Amino acid sequence: MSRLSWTKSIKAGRTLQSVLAYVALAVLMFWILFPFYWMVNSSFKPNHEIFDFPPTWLPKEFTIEHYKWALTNNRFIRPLLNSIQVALMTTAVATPLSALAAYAMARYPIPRKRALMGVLVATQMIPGVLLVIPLFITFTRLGIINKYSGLALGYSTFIFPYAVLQMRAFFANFPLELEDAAMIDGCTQLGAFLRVTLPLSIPGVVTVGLFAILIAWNDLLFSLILTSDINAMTVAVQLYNLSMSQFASTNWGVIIAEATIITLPVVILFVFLQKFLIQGLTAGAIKG
Amino acid sequence: MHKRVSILLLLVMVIPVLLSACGGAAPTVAPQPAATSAPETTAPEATKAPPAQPVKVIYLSAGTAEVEQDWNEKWVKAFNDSHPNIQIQYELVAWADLLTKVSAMIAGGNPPDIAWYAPSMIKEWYYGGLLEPLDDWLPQDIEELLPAIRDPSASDIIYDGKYYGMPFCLAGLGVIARKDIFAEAGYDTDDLMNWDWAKYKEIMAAVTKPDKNQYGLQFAFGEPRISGGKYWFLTNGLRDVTDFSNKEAYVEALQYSMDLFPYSPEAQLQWVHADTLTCYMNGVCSVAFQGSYFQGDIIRQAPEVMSNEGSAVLPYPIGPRMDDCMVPWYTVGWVMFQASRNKPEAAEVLHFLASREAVNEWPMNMAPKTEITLEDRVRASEFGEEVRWWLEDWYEMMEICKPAARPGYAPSNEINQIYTEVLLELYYGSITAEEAYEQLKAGIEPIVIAPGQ
Amino acid sequence: MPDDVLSVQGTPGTRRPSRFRLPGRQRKVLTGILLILPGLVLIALLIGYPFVFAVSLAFKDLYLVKGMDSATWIGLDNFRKFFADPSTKPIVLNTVRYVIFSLLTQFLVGLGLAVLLHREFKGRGIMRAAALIPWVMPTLVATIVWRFILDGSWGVLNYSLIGMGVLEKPINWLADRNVVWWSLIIVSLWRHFPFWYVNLLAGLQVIPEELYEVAKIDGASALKSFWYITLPLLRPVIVVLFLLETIWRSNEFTTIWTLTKGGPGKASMTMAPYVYQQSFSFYRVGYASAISLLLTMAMLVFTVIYIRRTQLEH
Repeated sequence: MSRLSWTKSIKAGRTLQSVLAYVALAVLMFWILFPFYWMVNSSFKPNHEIFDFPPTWLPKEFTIEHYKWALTNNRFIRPLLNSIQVALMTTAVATPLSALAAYAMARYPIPRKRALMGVLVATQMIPGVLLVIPLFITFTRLGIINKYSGLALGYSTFIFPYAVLQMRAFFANFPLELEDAAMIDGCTQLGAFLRVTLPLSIPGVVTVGLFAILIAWNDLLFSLILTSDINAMTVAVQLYNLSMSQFASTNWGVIIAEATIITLPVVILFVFLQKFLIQGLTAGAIKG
Repeated sequence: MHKRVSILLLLVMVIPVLLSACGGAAPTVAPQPAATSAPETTAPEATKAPPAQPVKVIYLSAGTAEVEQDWNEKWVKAFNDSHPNIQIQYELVAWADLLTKVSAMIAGGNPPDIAWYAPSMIKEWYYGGLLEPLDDWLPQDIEELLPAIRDPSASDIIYDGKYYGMPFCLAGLGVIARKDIFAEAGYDTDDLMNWDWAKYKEIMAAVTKPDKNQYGLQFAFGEPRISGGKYWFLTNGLRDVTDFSNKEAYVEALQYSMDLFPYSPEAQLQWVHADTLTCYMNGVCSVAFQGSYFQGDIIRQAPEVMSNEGSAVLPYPIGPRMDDCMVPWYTVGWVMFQASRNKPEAAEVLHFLASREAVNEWPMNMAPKTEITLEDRVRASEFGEEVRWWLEDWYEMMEICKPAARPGYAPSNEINQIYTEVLLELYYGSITAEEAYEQLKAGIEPIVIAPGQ
Repeated sequence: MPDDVLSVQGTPGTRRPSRFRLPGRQRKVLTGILLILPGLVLIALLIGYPFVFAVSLAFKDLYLVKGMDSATWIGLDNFRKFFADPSTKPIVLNTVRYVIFSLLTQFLVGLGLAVLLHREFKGRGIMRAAALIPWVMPTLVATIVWRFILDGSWGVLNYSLIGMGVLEKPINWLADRNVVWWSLIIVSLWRHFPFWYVNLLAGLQVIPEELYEVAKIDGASALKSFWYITLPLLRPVIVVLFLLETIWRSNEFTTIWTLTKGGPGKASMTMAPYVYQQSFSFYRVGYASAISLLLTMAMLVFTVIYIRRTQLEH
């Protein structure tokens, strides 16, 4: 085989490979995005069209009535605002808390560090359903039941172990020289951390922040039990009441519109911060 | 309380900041004990109550449906506005979580005062010893209840001669049928007031056209409390699915359920109540098993179906062991808990709600009170004249057919699970109706709480 | 002990004079402890205490209808009941099957997508982000939409498959007890693969490009370099993902409960929803605690392996 034809066949092989790769990618992306598309599509149809057979791939009778209904209804708006507050509070508490703890785990001579790591990992193996009732009683005794601050405290606790493990790896890989330089300038170790390490660890911190938002925004198991007052209830609970409880609504348009509304914030957040997430995971990487 | 949490959070955040100073600001480490004791010292000051704070009555509502949430919000506001000394704290807890939550709240030292009950739940609560008898608190309101509700042999709220529930609605159960689908198959719903199992099966067979995705009825196994085909026990002279006193009647009911399966869409096995209504609205199903409640929910979604021209209200078709039509009924209402710390105030709330004025101003379903007429209900309904036909049909049906109390059984969820699993086996043909009876008996009898117990 | 800390300590002149009386090292120990303390207090309060509480319930006969105070000590009876109950075996098998199928499918799809999106091409960024959508959607929203798509009577999936001639008659994706299982796997895969994909993608980024170039010069095919370079270097990430996901999928509750409630019958019931049903529907809280304690103990095995691995690194 001549050199030329050899490279040619390699090239042909590569092209074929590329084509196959694109086809595979297209199929996967279709499957990934279809439910999202179907949700958005249905949310703009009037109720009778949602169940039309054959289904319409785009709304035949385009309507924004469902959105109007949802966004003017206090029973949706109030929980939506609650959820936003819970998510923000969770991030605001969990991120600094776990960043500092992770830094301590990476840099400070803490006794029994291995045992501590063990505890953090062990929290991950406890099934959430086991904790629900005891947690409800604990929350009641602490007086933080039916409060979104209580919920935020709970979520911060749940995300803390994972966040620490994630960021510890991040900080442990951080070059020491830069911190040393800052300390020569008169910073404490923590000062050096805040001024030098942290600003350069933004992807890691953003990653943990995103995880915190995700857990707070998406949880149903705990919020279902820990909040029942409309003034503290998260939007997931209210959507659950509307769509899955005993006398769930048949108002499918509104259910789907609300589902779309509560999906959008997290989707937008992740689409914009996706780069940070991948960087953060790359540097920290849950490696063995 | 809220402040205490905020302070705790703040402290949690401040400690690290104190620790992390650069240059001049030396790390004056706050000693940890001082830090943790701070909330205790500051919190009481911060939350020092203004004098004469209103008493808080914790009210758990299971009314998660839209109409019910509307209803709750309206009267809670009216009550709170007119009673400066009492504030109702209204909480929304889905039926499925209600009992768990009440027990956990009591254990956590924050007992609820009043809550909704449904037939099985009040039985479970009474059995658990959680309820406060209402006779002494609300004597006059009890007097005003309908005689049927005050009948101890039929009532779901009287145990050991005492009242444990204050109903706010009376719910009848029956079938709603789509007039258009029935007519297409050659049946007039006006002739069906006295239909029996055979007739019903004949119609279901006539309307079922799987190729057109059109079926007769649905069982909705995803939520067997509401449907699941258990009505055939009632319509064959049995009390409910836990009544094993007459084996033949029971087996007949099971067999009949099985015979009807081909006329129902298979997707129903995962449906919940809302799906059955969706099915009815879409015309995939020609009937829905429905209570006298929630016409509002369908009216909003499909006004043309939910009208006198679109739908007919019918009693359940009766089985071979019954002579006359019957309408099962039950009540939903309020209970007060023994653990309540504010019983007089809780009683005041219940009294406010149970008054004829309140029942009239905030109507929910059919009235449990004497002297409240159909006209009152139509006048008070948010849909006004739109619901007249519906209420008329129900009132008329309750008059023509024998009303039969349906007090519910406990522990209902466990029994429903057993029932669903056995019926699935029956459906898939792996057991006969007789074997299903034996399995149900063996599963249910050891756990069921006997009626009146 | 990470040696980086020692090296900081060992560098002369890096510490400014302390106003503390504590020697430097002890001060560092104290600071370090203070930094992790708030988190640990929260864990003790909101995970530790409830966990101990729940464990104690596992040895009691608590029927919630009778109130929390009615619990009586019954030793190991709850555990005996679990092992004697004929419905235990199918549920345990379901769980094992669910975990194995979920993990394998998620790994394959996650890895495939990570490799595809690692290549340079136009629109890569937006695709990388879009692939995260299933994972960031609230679980409840995901199951509402899937219930909608999969419904046997009016779902768009049946319609499309029949329209394309793949199916002759509709399949009851959620209502047929022989099929519901596969629907569950598909939804679980859809929902959870992005976590694999994003971590594997992150893992791919740290593999030096030179390795591939050397391989190319040596005449290795793409498949070969994937097999001999990519996979071995991703191994640590893959192992940890398998361990964590085993734990998370075994404890999976919301997806299964909101999609099928474990039904029809118990056809799609796994351990976590079963625990929930025992506790929240049947009010057998003691029994439910015992089952989840067993589940926790099973997870302990994977946790210990995980801890071993993470600590071998240091």
